[in-house]
Amino acid sequence: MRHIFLLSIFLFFLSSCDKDESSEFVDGFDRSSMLTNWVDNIIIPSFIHFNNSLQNLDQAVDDFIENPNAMNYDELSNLWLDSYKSWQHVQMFNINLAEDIEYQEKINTYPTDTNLIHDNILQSVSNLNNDENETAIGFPAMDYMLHGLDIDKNSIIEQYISSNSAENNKNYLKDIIKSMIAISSQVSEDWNSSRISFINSTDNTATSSLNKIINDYIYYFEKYFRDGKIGIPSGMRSGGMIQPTTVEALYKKNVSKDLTLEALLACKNFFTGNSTNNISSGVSLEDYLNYLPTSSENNLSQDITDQFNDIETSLNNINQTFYDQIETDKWVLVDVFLEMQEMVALLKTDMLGALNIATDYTDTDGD
Amino acid sequence: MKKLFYFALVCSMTFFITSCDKDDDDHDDDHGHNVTAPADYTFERNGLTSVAYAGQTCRLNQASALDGAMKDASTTEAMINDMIYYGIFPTTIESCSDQKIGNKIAVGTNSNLTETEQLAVQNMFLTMVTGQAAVLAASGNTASAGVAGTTSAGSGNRMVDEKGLEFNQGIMKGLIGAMCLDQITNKYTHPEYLSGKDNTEITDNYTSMEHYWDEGFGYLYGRDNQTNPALQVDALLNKYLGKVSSQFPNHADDIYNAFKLGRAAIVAGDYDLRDEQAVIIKERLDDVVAYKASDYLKAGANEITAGSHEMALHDLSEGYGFIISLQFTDHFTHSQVNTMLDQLMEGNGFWDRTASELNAMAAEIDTEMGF
Repeated sequence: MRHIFLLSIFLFFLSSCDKDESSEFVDGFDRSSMLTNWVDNIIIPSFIHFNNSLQNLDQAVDDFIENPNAMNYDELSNLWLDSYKSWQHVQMFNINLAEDIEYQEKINTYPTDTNLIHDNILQSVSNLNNDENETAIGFPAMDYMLHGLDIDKNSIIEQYISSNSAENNKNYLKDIIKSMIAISSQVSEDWNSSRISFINSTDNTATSSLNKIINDYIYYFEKYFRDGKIGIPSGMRSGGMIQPTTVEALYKKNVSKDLTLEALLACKNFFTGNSTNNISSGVSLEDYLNYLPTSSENNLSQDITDQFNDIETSLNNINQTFYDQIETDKWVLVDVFLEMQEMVALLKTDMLGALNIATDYTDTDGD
Repeated sequence: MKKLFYFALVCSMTFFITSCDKDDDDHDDDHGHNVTAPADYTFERNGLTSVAYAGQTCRLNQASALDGAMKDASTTEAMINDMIYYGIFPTTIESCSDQKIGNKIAVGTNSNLTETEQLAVQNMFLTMVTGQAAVLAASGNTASAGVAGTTSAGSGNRMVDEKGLEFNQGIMKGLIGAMCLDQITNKYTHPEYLSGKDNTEITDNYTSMEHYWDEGFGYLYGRDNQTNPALQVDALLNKYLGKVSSQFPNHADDIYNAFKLGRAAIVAGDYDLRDEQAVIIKERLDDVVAYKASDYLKAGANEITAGSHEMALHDLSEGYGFIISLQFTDHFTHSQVNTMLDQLMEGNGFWDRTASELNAMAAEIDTEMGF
């Protein structure tokens, strides 16, 4: 690791001496075909899949609103989970419009703010697509509306039938899915229209799509995958004091692991170039690292693949809900965190070093 | 390992500076710094201060309030956890905006500790909180070997566990290393941490690099007079820097001057000079922590020799906390520290310790430090 750090210092000074400001990369790897594979076989199909899942979810919301019974409730809850899993494959692509409109914050900010949700319900606030409501919309808000509104399934269903706020509850549920569909189709459309420019932006500059998407991938891995799903709930960001109420899918509870495994698969697919539905495998970072002499000699891509497996193994040591696991023995999750942490070093230090790509973010922990 | 790394870093920098420099004759690299430190830690940009460390002042204020609360028998475990980990106090703490002590325990980015070791230290603090709450709950008992309770030896009532340990001392003196020293020397002033941090873009009237350095300053002087520190104004590192003035008559000035010059070097873009100041700060602060660890062990030994074992408990409790802090210096590893702590806690803990055991442990520290 240290060697790589020194090497990057070396490269830094080497390049600082270089008066030629050209950002042309000279390693000869076909970056464009990698970008093409990502956008055509991973990103756009993942968005299509996600949008379809939202349409199904919307239909289930309508059915449940029209007839709030146990069968429709189960269907709705299942489709919420399907869609939530599908979301795990798109969240990491947070560039361009998605970043501008705070897409991932609007779809998956947790823990959700139940007070704000109740205020919104009470006041029949229906325009939810704004920054102020990020903590009261998206999957976490729907999780609360479906699994947290009362003590058990029957009582929750009653909240949509006989409670004073039954109508408002129904409306709020519908408003959440409407907002998710609206912004998701915008972001989807943005990807479709920027496909060509995305593929052609292969330079090694801070604004090239290649650098942005790779940086964003690692940023996602650190902040949302490692910290959001595992690190924060298990107390890794609070001096060891556990924060079980910050798990993803807090109210459904028994799906946090499924969502994390799904996100792990998405991260792995991006690295290996496998399409979401696994029907094709194309050019990706794995090939790039195998192509470059240094990383190929060091077997970096194999190390990364192995580390993905280690993360999965450690996740499978969790045999209860994340919430219960954290409360009873957080160290099982801490182990997962440490495996993820090793991966961050591989991706951020070793891989970016090999690719000679600069990080475009720094830790903003200064206070 | 770390020293080797600096050496390599400096070599590689020097090499490239010379290799880039077309104008070798004018370049007097090694000791030709012409940065002058200002008279005090005042730095301005456009007529306004560019120094800010309210977050550190907040945590030092919180630590003082915590210190008081942990001596109050009505304080519960939940209340201590609220204070440390959630920043929730019974009264408003000045300078705070959502800061917490808890997320700054053993998290130095450039620590000698591994991540697992850092976690173990964090967990130790959680355990000490639980221990302190239990001690407070048992404060109605009279303490003796194997019995938690209150001891009235010396000044005021001290509440100890069955091994004679005041956990509040472990927590407070532990924070001196795990928070103050770690944040200052293993993060904010650390050459590796600062390397590559932005020093051009001005936000809130300072650059990132300036601000990080100031945050390091804040963990030592956050409750003190910025332009003329009085020392002994907080419950943590500042207090003990003030207390070691007879052993290390120049350390307080050296450290303040190094902070000033390092900050001026950042403004001037002279990073070699900045890093030299970081080394001065680290060496001196390490001395303070290690000296107090050894000193309290000897004080405990003296009490035992004088036949007042109960009087030794307080000294040893402070020593226990300072020993926790030792692993954040460059002189003691996590496992060395654990070995010392285990030795202190063996059997009935402090009640079982002999003067010669304690003096031997102090001598180990002195030898390593060259005291």
